[in-house]
Order: sequence, then structure tokens, then C-alpha cells
Amino acid sequence: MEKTARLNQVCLPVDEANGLPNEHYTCPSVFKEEKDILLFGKWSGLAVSAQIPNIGDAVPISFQGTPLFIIRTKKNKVKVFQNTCRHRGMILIDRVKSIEGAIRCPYHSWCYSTEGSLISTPHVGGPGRNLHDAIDRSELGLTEIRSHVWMGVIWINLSGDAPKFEDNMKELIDRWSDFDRPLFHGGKESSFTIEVAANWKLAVENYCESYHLPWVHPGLNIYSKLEDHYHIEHKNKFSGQGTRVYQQLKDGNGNVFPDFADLNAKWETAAEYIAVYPNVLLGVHRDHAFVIILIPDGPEKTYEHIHLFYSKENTPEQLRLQNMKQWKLVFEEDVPVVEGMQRGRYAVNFDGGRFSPAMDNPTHCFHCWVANEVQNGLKHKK
Amino acid sequence: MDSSIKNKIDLEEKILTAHQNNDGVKLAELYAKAAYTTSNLNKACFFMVNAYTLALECNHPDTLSFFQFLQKYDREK
Repeated sequence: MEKTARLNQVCLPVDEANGLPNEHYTCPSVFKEEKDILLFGKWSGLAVSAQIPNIGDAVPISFQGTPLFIIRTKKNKVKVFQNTCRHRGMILIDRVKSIEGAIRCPYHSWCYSTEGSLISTPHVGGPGRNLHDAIDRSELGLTEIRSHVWMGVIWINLSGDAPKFEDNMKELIDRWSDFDRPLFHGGKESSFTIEVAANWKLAVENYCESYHLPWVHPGLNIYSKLEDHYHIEHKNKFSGQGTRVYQQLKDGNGNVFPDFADLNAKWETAAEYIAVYPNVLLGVHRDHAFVIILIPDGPEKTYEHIHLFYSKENTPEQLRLQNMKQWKLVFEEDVPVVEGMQRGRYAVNFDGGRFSPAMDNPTHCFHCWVANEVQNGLKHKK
Repeated sequence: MDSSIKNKIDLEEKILTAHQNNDGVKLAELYAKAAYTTSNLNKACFFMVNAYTLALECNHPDTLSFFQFLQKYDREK
């Protein structure tokens, strides 16, 4: 079956559809296509703004081979720039650092403000002369990458042509308006990374559905049973699952985390877990939230960067630690199945698999998005 | 040895040491001193460009005066 026909098959109704073909999980050239179309062409998660809490903080990050850095500017704005000098393309920020004044290129010392303007070009007109008619500084500022901060995540659109983030994600921003407020990162003990030997999409697919909970997360299933969950689907944007029976974590003395203020009554017992396409997995609860940023490293390896957030600063450290351990256990329980699906993609006769029409709808929603976007992207390229 | 030559050698050694220590504040100040102590305008501007660049990086309190020095001779704007 040719590629278009196979991708069309993915977008059939869930009770007829097959999943994405094997090459979408194993093939370097398909990975590159998806990188350009899905990761660079859409709003992708890059990092969390808590990584740059203070003015001048700068962190270099390579996103799919593209050198970038994030910075909190002197005007207290989070910005993302291409990490290259406009002169000879030298890497500007090579380590986590605090910018006191200007960003100075380590090669010929061209200097940029934290807002990205080129402010000095030493000796560019000859020794002792910082000016030359051919060098118009106003045209040579740092290359800024479109970015937006929401739910503590720094989202970027590398292609520069995606719809505005607020418009693109309006439905989810509205759905979770109760959580559109300052989120306080839990600090060092609330961040961890899990390396998974699998394609990044398998992590999304697994996250979307509750079908696997009884088998893979028996601990969660004790209090949050399959029948307590509901699907969340928004075609072309996001999908996931919710539970109606969220129970707050308690320490030995019965202490819980403080709630986010003024929540709708729904959130007393509800929690929701949504995959925001392409690469961000979010979870919200009355007393905390988490984000998982999936960073692919080739077709068969993914780093899951996990961050936990709370309603206030200085929540009890032991409780935060307990919460981190609890979530880490859950996320690590997913690793064997995600990696197992990856290995399964080498079965030459695997046809993408079938979906449960009752339970796999959010996962199918994601597959359909990938198939549609890849087809549209390839057409556009031609 | 002529005292001006000795001073020059001392200053060069201090500049090299500050480079080795990656001490931007010190370097900015030493380059500015070099600029202020030479009578050759082009040499002075060369040193002042270095002083100004490093001052920009470390947000040195004398950044503006270094800028004004260069601006005065049409070397910066």
C-alpha cells in the first residue's frame, strides 16, 4: 500500500482505522519529515520558564540540532534566540550563566543586549573603530524564535508561521482557565528526566489513554478505576483523559498541598491529563500540576523532562518529595510498555494495529493529527 | 629601564593575568588605563574599544564614560 493510502487508513473512523505505519517510529527520513512538519511547524515545548527564574539567566538548549538559548531579559521577559552570533555564526551561550550586562560573542566580541539588539561591534571598521557603513546594527540583532509561556512551559514555533499560540490553543486555555495563573515550580526535587528507548509519539499515545491503567499502573487503579475516567479529544489540537476521583496526597500527619485559589467545584475530585500536540504532556489537579516535555533524540530515543508545580511557594519539602516519588513511579511504570511498542515496530507484518473504539479514541485522535499534518506538510513542500 | 617602559610592561602583564583569570571587570579597567596613558589616539581607541566591550559584558559602572570616549572620536555611536 502506498504512503498516502496508509495515512488515509489512519484517519478512518476509530472502529475502522489502523495506527501509523512502522516507519513513523523507526525510519530516520520519516523522523526528519515529522521533525520539520510537527516539531518545527507547530508550537512545541522547549523548556520551563522556571529554568530562568532571575533577570539575566540564560540557558543554552539544542532543539533537534538547532542551537537556541532561553533568557530572562532585563525587562523581565522570557525570550528564545537562535544561539549564534550574526557575525560568523559562533555559539554565544555555551553554558548556563547569568548575563550581567551584554551577551558578548566569545569569538570577535560582538555584543548584544538581552533583548537581542546588536549594541557593539568591536574593531569592525578596523582597529579602534566600532563602526563601518556596511554594518547596520539595526539589521543584525539576534534571531528571535517565536515563543510563548503558558502553564510554565516555554513553547516555540521555529517555522514562524503557526497561528498565534493563544488562538491555536484557545480551547485548552479556556478549558483550563482555572489554572491560568502563576504556577510555582517545586524546585530541584521537583524536576527529573526519564530516558526512553522509543519514538516520542509512543510516549504521547500512551499518555493519552486510560485503557492501560489497570494493567500498567495497578497502584493508581486501586482508587482511580477505569470507569472513573473520561476521554478528552479535540481534533487537531490535543487529547487525553480525565478522572473524577482524584485524591490529594497526604503526609503522615494528614497534611496536603494548598489548593489553587478559586477553583471551580469540579476540580475538588477531578484531574485531567492532556497531551498538547506535538510534544507536551500536561496534568492538572486541585493542588498541583505537572508538565512533561518530550525531547526526541532521533527516531528511537526520547527524553522526558518532568516538572512539578504548586499553587504557592514554599510548600512542605517532604510532601513535595513524596509527590515527586509517586509520579516518578507512575511514569517509570510506562517505560517498559512504551519501549515494548517501539520494539514491536520492527515486526514487518505489523499494520499499525487497531484501536479499541471505546477506549483508544484519544490515541486515535493523535494518530489522525499526525497523519493529516504529515500529508498536508508534504503536499505543501511539493 | 625607563620608567614608562616598565609601567607599560607591568600593565601588559596585568592584562595577560586578567585574561587568564577571565576577570572582565579588571580587564575593562586595565584596558581603560592603557587607553588613558597613551598619547597615540589610534592606540588609545584600540584599547578603549576593548575596555568598552568588556565593560558592556560585565555592566561596569564606567561603561558610559568609555562609550563617550569612543563617541568623541567617531569610533562608536
